[in-house]
Amino acid sequence: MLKAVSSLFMGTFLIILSSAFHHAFADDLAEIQAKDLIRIGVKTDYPPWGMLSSAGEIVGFEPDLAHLIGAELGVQVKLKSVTSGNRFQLLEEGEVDVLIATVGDTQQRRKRVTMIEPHYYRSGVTLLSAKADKINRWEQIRGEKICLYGGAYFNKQLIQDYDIEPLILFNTRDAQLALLTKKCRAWAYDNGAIYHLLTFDSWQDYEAKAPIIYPILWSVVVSNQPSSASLAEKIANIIISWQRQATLYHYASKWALPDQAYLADRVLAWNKKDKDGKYVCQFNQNKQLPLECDQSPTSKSDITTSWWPFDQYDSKWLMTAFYQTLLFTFAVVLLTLIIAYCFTLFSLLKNPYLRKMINSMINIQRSIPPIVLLYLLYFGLFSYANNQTGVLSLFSGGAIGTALLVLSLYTAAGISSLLEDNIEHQQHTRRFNSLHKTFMDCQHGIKANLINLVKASAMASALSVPNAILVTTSLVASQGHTLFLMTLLMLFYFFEVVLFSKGLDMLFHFLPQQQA
Amino acid sequence: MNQIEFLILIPSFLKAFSLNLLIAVCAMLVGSLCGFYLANLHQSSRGIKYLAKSIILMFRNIPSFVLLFYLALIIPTQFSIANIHFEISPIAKAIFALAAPVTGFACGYFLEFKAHKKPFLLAPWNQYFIVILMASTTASVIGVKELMSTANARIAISGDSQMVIPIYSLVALWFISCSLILSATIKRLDKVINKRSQCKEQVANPHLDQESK
Repeated sequence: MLKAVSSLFMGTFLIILSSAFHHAFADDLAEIQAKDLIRIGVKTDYPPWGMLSSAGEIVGFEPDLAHLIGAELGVQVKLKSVTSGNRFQLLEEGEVDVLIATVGDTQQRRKRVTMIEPHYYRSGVTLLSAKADKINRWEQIRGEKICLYGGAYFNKQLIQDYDIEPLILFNTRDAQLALLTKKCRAWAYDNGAIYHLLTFDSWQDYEAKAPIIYPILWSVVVSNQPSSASLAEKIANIIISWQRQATLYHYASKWALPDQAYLADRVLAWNKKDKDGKYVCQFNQNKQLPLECDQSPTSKSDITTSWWPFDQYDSKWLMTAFYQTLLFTFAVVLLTLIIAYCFTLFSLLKNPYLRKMINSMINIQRSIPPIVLLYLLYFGLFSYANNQTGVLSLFSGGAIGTALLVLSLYTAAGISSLLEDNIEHQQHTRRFNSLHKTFMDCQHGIKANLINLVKASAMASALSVPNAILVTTSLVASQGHTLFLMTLLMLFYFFEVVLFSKGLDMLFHFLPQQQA
Repeated sequence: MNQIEFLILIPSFLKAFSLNLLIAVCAMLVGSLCGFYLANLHQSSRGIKYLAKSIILMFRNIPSFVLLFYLALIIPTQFSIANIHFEISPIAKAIFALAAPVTGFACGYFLEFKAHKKPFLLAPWNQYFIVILMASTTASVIGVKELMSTANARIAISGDSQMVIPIYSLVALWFISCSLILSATIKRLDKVINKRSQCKEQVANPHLDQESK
């Protein structure tokens, strides 16, 4: 056994070592030319920048640029589909040589990969809202509830600058759902994606009239290993020629991309010459470009400690999320106990048919996955109640209220069924006085149900309840530090479950054991 | 949403639900095997027993929903070791995340089964399978195109908020029917197994019935 483990470690060590040597001494450009093949990672989920054609081929603005790079290098091109989630990972693992995959250039990302300058495109943030709302200025959303995608780089700045009430969703699909069901007044997101969404007939009642803010420049990306330096330099020169020959502008027009004025402006800038007839836009001795030609991202970090990678804002956000998760779990456990007790009162009904009918109705919801019920109520029934007046408006719950209700009803139904089974099998009398005995008889089952509830309460994040999961995964998407944050999250939930488990033990210990 | 639009949804929902079934079945298999192995380790030497207990404690106390995100973000989707290419799809990650609670359950069941020599019943496994089948919908948050994810995508593409209630109701109904069918089937199966084992006992010991009287 020990032998097997040590040989496994040795093997892994050798693989890591050989890969380190590969990166330290190889030259990526020479290797690409020797193999006559360059592997370029492009998006297939971001039309028209990168998508699959009806024939299943990868096409779009960025795949076109990838083929141009291949032609310039005189090698064949293999396009590989990447996503926002795995693109850097694939580059680091050597699965692709280059990324042309909607990568915005930020200081944070520069720590991980090499961003090639000059940039090839620019995007920014815009607001998608219903035409009826007539939102065309950012000032109009001050203090409003705005949908955001958890991993977006601009979230923090937007919240601080416009004092908005953020509704953070796990993915863009849920953000669309939230906007459609009026959970938020508008959705602030990348202008390119919103531009694409608005090309669909189904979104014709929506518009994006607010000016583009927080511009971010897009880079072609290579690995940050020294072996990629010559490849980066070669691609930088190719992009400079694209800028001067208006190639980027031409391809942006071909794919009807938004913000073509920016690319037209770049053509002028890159063709500007000084008195001596030399191009103004050229790399200086420090390999930097003049500001009027291209801009590197500036660092806004105010991190003070070395081991803790987050600034004050993110740290406070994370700590608040942990605290709110504990509070939410306590509330949902308490509410479950109250509802379970109320449900059990139906067991006292003398009429067996009525009793069975009510119990079946309570139990039917246990056959529906809680996440389905959460979505059905939050995006469906409660949204409908949102638009109503009178009694129905009472049901227009927020995300926290909906999550509390669904999770506690689900577990309470389980506990109630357990108690009913106990009454049935033990042939206890259906009297109020005997309920306590039944409750104590089933304490292990009740505890098991409640512990499952503590674990299931994590699911509330699906409805943008700002709990530990939502905030941690948002931080991972925007800042990185994946292993650190995810391990912190796992430890938090482990100790939360242990804490509540001990708390429930104590609760049942202090309850009077018999009360006939 | 008219009836035709509703009917068009059925084949795509069926395809998506087959992924839920696949995730649940595989998670049950992987979890049961791990649980069985860990239950056996319980009877080993002190050190290994302690290790097995720690693993079970970890599996029991970490929510599968958290584990789902952990695996999705930590484990690379593709990697190569010694020129062998490995690919771990989101479906595989969902299976491993959901196999964790099954391991805890299965280990507990096998330990009790060994300690008390109780008859092997399918009902608790069926109930747990239904729980895991329902939990398989959480895989939608890591991009698995299962039933919930398909329903969400369908609503988002339509751009019509009126689709929300009918589509989610259809998903809910789908799961209600599925659990009812599964419960009824397993109940019947359990009855048959019990009857057979009773018959076998009577054949093996024909005086048993009389003695008990």
